[in-house]
Amino acid sequence: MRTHLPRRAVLRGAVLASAALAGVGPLAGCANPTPIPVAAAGPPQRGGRLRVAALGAPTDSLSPLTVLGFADYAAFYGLYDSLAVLVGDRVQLSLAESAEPNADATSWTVRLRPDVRFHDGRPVGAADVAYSLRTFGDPTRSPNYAQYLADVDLANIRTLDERTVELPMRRPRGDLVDSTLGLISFVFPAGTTDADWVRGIGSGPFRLAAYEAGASTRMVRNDEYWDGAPLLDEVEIVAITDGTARLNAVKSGEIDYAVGVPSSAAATEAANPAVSVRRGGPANSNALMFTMNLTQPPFDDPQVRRAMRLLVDRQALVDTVLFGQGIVGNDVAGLGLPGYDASLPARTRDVEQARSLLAAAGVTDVTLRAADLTPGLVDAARLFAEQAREAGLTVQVEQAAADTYFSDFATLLSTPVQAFYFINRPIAAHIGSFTGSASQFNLTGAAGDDYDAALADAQGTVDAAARAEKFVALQRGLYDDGGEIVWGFAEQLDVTLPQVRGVELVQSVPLLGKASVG
Amino acid sequence: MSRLDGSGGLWRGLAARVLSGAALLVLVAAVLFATVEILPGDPVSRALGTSATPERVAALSSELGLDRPPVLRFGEWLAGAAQGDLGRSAVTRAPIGPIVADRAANTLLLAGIAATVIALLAVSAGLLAGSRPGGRRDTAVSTASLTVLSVPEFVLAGLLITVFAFGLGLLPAVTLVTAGGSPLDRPDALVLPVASLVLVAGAYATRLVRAAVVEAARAPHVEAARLAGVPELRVLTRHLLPGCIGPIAQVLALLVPYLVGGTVVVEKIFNYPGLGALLADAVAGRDALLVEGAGLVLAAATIATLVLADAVGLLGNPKLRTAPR
Repeated sequence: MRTHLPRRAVLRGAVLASAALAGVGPLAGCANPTPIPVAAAGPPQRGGRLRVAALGAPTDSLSPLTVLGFADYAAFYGLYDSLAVLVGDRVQLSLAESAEPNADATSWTVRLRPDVRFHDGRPVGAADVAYSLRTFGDPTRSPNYAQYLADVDLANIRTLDERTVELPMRRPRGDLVDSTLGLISFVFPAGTTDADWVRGIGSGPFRLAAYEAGASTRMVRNDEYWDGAPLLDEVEIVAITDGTARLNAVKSGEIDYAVGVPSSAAATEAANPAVSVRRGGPANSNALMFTMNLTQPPFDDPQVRRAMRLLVDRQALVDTVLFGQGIVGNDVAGLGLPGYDASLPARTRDVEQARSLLAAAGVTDVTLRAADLTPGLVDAARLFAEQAREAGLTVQVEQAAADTYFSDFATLLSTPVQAFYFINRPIAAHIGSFTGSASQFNLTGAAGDDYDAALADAQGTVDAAARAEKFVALQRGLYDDGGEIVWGFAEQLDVTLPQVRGVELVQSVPLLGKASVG
Repeated sequence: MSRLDGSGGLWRGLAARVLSGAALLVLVAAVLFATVEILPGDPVSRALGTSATPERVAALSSELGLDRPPVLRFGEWLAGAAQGDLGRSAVTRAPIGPIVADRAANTLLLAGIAATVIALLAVSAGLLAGSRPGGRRDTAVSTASLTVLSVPEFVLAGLLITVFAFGLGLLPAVTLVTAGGSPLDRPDALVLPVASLVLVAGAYATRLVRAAVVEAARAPHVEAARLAGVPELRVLTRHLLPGCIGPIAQVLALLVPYLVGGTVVVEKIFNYPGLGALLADAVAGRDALLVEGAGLVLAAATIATLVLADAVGLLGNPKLRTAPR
């Protein structure tokens, strides 16, 4: 009697079966495709429900002060209005009817537009604006945003009348609207506490209908919205943490709009007629860079910095790391946004010149610290190391863990060169936050009395044209001599069903007030 | 002459197992706490990001009570957990207990359905295969289970999605739970996640059950029943199965840790709002108390299942109940 299996028969059968299984997938995909929805034509239709999938977390709380995930952000722009909003590539006043500085930009007067009400019927007034700004500027309640309002003298905000607020400044800031209010200025009712956020009382185009932390948010049309009631009856924002799962949800028709999909997937789905891939453009992107610290050798030598800039093959990085779903960078952040100096000459790669500069400076190897703070940074570092070898420079990639990257602040601020990224913001906001001695997060160490004075002068200039010129001068200085090698912009990649229209992006977050599903 | 006190020994045996299970849970809780402590990185600097100056980190840590000695924090946490209070999330200060309870219920639903299907599948296939080792049925079952076992879970899940969600359009690719709803609102969304878990753990369980059955099939009374002309089905159910109930229960209990690991992957892929996905997200976010809370509940469920399986084995095997005196 046989007491053991003929192993060869079993193994042969298993191998054949596995191969068959692997082949079934692609074949099944061709066999019976889901019907292709036709893109809408004609004027946008009123009505319907938009289902959005975005990154969320089980401990989300609908609090604008502590939000980290896109799902809550998308809800905020539906529930709340802002004083000013950076839509696409321009800053527009929204809830604020006007915002004027005094002659030397030491004080601003903001006037609200009339007849705006919160969802519970109360009128929106100066007291609410004052409370909202003070709350955002409080470092204990709002750790993420307090730094942007650091120059506003929050304790001395005055309400001049029902609709007017006076904002005294600690330093002259002519760019308050562009660099601060345009980035974050939600208005919520005075007295809102942490327990109140789940009620979602704002003045925005949508009212909160239901909320389950980390699961979903349901909003319905606000018929009394001051800027015209939205076309959609209802919006549902569902939290899906995995980017591929978000994409799959659109492909199977359960979701209309997926916020953020992996770049490899976006490249593949570009050819799929059943879905539309939306690239956010530079205005909705992350600026990817290698940041050199000017205070750390060998990058304290301007010739070495120049050599590094000449060595990077930016197009290759975008093609390889971003699967082509991005834009080549020119060492200055803020591409596609107000204030960017488009006349800066495009960097061209020059290996020979880099080689001679490095030889003159006696530099043969550097250590590049990298972690996947955003997908692709480590790959970019490794690819750059290969590119640098052509000039005889050895780049050691020191890989770090993404989750602990921000734990050691001292190391972060003294690393000679690292792979990093920033959300692409207008240049004035970027260098205002991340350069100069006043900055708390100055990775490049770009500072000094002259620089600080020039930056403060630019920020304090009231006249918009004059201010723009000064920031152009600052940009040129950083382009020639600074520490940021911005090699590319990773665009926000969203995937939608073709019938979704009218969605605008605010710093990569979808604005749904004018959206429709037909 | 020693007196065999059957029922007294049974209760003592059960009590001993429950107590040791509880002690094991405390030990696991300590290991879990220590591991999270050692993990580099903390939720405070993660949450603060570019604003994480040393002063702000210190202030927020102090506010959350994270600067007190670890042993003290462990004791407080364990005491609270025993009363059902799992603390608050470091990221949003929301109480952890309700979140974990909600997610645990969802995972229990998913794992419960999967475990039932696996048990039925593994026992039937294992019996069929093991009752006549080397026969045609055995070859078929063993080949199939080895094939499925060789393919990683995320590949299997991806294949299922491609075929049933995109290709045939029959089933949803993700689980969408609307505010206030539950996964049962759309039962067809449960099919693919359950299928993934069944394929993964079922293949493994089938092979283990088969091994137990092969062992039991050696017993002389089975051969005798066959020679006496008893129909094969009766042989399987009346003669073979009773002899391997104990070993099969042990095998199915071993499934639980396997399922727990499987749910983490499956829940992420299908966006199922369960404890596995919660644990994965909590680790990524370095939300220490959330990791510990979710981990503790998973450990408790696993230990409880193993104790239960032990109890079943105890009931099924009279020899284990009594201790010789």
